[in-house]
Amino acid sequence: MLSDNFLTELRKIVGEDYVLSSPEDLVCYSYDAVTTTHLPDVVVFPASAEEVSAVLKVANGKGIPVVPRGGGTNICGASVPIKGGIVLAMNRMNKILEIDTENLVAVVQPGVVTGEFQRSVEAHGLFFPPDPQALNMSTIGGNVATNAGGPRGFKYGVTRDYVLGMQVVLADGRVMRVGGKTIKNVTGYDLTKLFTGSEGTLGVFTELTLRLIPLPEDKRTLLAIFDALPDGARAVSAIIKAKIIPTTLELMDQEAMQLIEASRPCGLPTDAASAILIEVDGSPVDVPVQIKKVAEVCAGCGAREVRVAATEEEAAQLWASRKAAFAAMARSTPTVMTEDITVPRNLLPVMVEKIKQIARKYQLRIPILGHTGDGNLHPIICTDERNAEEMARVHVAVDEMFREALALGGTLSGEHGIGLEKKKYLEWELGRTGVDVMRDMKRALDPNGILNPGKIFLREDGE
Amino acid sequence: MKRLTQYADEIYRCMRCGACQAVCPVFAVIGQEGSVARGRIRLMREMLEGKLAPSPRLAKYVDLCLGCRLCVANCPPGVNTDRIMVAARHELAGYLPHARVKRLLLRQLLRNPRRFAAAMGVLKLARRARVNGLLPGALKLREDLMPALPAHTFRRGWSQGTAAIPLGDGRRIGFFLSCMGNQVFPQVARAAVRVLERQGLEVIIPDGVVCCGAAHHHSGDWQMAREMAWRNIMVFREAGVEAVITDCASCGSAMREYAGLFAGTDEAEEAAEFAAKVADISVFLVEKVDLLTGDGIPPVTVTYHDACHLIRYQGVKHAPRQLLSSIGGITFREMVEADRCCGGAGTYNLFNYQVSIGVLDRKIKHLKETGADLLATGCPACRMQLEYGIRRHGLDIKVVHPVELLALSLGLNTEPLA
Ligand SMILES: Cc1cc2nc3c(=O)[nH]c(=O)nc-3n(C[C@H](O)[C@H](O)[C@H](O)COP(=O)(O)OP(=O)(O)OC[C@H]3O[C@@H](n4cnc5c(N)ncnc54)[C@H](O)[C@@H]3O)c2cc1C
Ligand code: SF4
Ligand code: SF4
Repeated sequence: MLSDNFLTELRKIVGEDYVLSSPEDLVCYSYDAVTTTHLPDVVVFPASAEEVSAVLKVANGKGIPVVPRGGGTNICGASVPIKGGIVLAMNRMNKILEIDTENLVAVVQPGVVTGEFQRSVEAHGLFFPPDPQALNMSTIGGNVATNAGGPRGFKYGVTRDYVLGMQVVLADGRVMRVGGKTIKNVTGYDLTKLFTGSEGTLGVFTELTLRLIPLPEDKRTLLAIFDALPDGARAVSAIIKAKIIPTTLELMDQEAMQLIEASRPCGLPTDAASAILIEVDGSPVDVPVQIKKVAEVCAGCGAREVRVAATEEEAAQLWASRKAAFAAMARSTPTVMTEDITVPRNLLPVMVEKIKQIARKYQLRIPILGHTGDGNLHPIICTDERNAEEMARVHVAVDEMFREALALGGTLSGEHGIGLEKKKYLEWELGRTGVDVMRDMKRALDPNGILNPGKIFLREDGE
Repeated sequence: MKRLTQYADEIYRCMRCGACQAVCPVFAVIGQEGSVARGRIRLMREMLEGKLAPSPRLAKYVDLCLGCRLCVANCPPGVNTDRIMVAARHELAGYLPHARVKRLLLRQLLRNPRRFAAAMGVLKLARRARVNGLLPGALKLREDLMPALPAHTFRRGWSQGTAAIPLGDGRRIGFFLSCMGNQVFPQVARAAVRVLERQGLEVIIPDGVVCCGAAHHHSGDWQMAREMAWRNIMVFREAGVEAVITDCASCGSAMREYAGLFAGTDEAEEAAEFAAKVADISVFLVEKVDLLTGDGIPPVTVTYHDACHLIRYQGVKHAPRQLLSSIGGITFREMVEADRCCGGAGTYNLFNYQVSIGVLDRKIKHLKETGADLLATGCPACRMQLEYGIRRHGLDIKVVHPVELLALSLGLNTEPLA
């Protein structure tokens, strides 16, 4: 419980209307997209860097936890105030401050919703490629804090590749600017990169400078269907060997296709091993050449069918199946858990096979979606959080999956982050030294441990 | 908590993905979790689990839901937030803001067409005398949300014999005269009936109908909603009609859901049979008759607003657009977010004015961008709200029901548009 004096101080900083402390409001900020929840003591909606700084100063003085929050859509527990304290809801800071069409740079506040930002820059013929699937409800601040990525990652990279600079408020309230509008910048350590992906544990972003690129003029889509998983993987490698970098290479396995067809028929073959949805983009001259080449390569690698969309409508139809996938799974079961393991691209079929074995072993239903271009796999565990016995099997299965991914030289998380959910695995991947170095950095920047405590690291200082 | 308990599974199906944030019009205005499906559902879950006690704040967050179903359409597991909120309103009835005024309105006025007529009469009088002060506190100043009221109700105008009923080809249909159609937009009801008759149908407009009960159901007053529904079912059974047609999106969706209202009771079968006969006029005209559209109208650009109660409650999207496009002289232009709620939502705009206007302003912005002369919509509540927004922004756009334009094209519309 926070003292009345403290609440009054917060109200003085951001205004009466922007401090919520009723039990009802606290409940509304106790969760994100995972099942673990915890009530905050207060929710504060700052409107400026100055207000953020003032809040952090008073919180730091009293050692009260502060958890920044954007859209609350992360799937690793990163925004759950697990130690109570202040939820710093950044949604009011949602202005696009500048779209600089000469330098191809935009300056935004962190609460801007990603999809809205993308549409705004596209109106200028520009492109902000990172495309996490939750882009219509997640914020840029959240995306930077989780280094979010999406299907376009293989060709265009992830959020990190577009962050040029930021204004960030440190735990003690000091305001710092790092990076800027230039692509080149080697002045000192690359703090911009350090803060990117820091999950609200090192500082609070109050402004972000983002890189834009010209919007590709044209794009085309095809769906290639394979009877054997390795054929699809071979096709992906062959496409890249043919010097084509598709924008997206989205894999759906048989179980995923069966679920989609059962809930929203899109004409997917339920007897095939996998389908890969491929999009290429570029100039109107390049695109038809590329798509033709991709179709040929797929056929040459044993695709049993290649559907090339002739029109935008047909492309939308092909995409409809992929877009329906998550809903189809969500409707088929009470609880879905989306994992995020990533392996070197050439080992993707091996990893898929491992996941299938694990699913059989623990009698779980685990359809798989994946971004085959960058080896990022989403095994989606369809289960029921109220069934304790099954959940126990789920946890062992997840442990095993992570172990396999690491053994293949992969990583725990390609885009979702560590948060609460994966902290127990951190050391598996980083080793003791890696974890120690990260904790040293955390301690240097946030000696009182007020910023999003209980996240990323299994043990905090003094535990 | 009996009623809410029935929705426990539904409540647990929310996976907190936040997809509702992208579409909820109330969240877009307020920007806090308590104003979006995810938050509301969580609140109900905590209340069911006994962790939160019923309170005015809880009721307020429930009450702020428009019931627009935009979140439902965008929800991966398809959680029916609107239904959970209806059940929640029932449980929290005593805590709802303006509970007394609303109950009075619904129980006393909407229950009986004659009383509704009397109330409208009072409103007219009050307007003439500029005695806004007579209205209950909560309604003060919001009287300007109401449109200009017609001189005569539909029933009065109709009994004066304005139209001759041509003999049908044996097809006999019923027309459900809504409270709004009778009192506020009689010109729409007249156009609807004339258009139907011109298609060669015999149109019965039974005397004994009462309010469809939508508002009662949505405010959680099941008992009253059932009473009225049953009355309507009986009246149309006696009339012996093949279909029950309505020009009101809300009445249509309420009547098509009568089956659910009586689920598990002895009346369920009868109610389901009735519900299956109910059709929105645009759907009926496009799908069930060989449509005569007449000579067309003078060139005009028309856009269309999807009422929540048509597009998401009844799945009606194409029929009104097809109807409009089939009329000569109309250039149809889609607006951005045509299916986004306008914030009217029955009496929502009266009780939650600020939020409602926030929602409305976005709609009017998109409307303005189309450059249309006319805005067509199939819902009288939306129409009132949209007309208010158009006045508020000083635009010169008229709101019509698609069937009014069809009547004009058929040479049936003797009155100037809107
Ligand atoms: C259906 C669904 C699909 C998804 N698909 C993808 C996907 O394809 N790719 C992907 O990468 N992710 C995906 N996600 C996860 C999620 O959308 C991302 O993690 C996103 O970046 C979170 O953004 P947010 O605004 O919701 O942040 P939140 O969830 O609110 O917060 C995430 C983290 O960022 C921190 N944070 C937020 N704002 C700030 C700030 N201003 N300063 C400092 N720290 C801050 C928080 O403390 C927290 O640690 C998906 C989620 C869902 C529900
Ligand atoms: S979209 Fe549906 S499942 Fe997701 S948070 Fe909203 S109500 Fe819950
Ligand atoms: S029904 Fe409409 S107002 Fe209510 S939560 Fe859903 S989107 Fe929001």
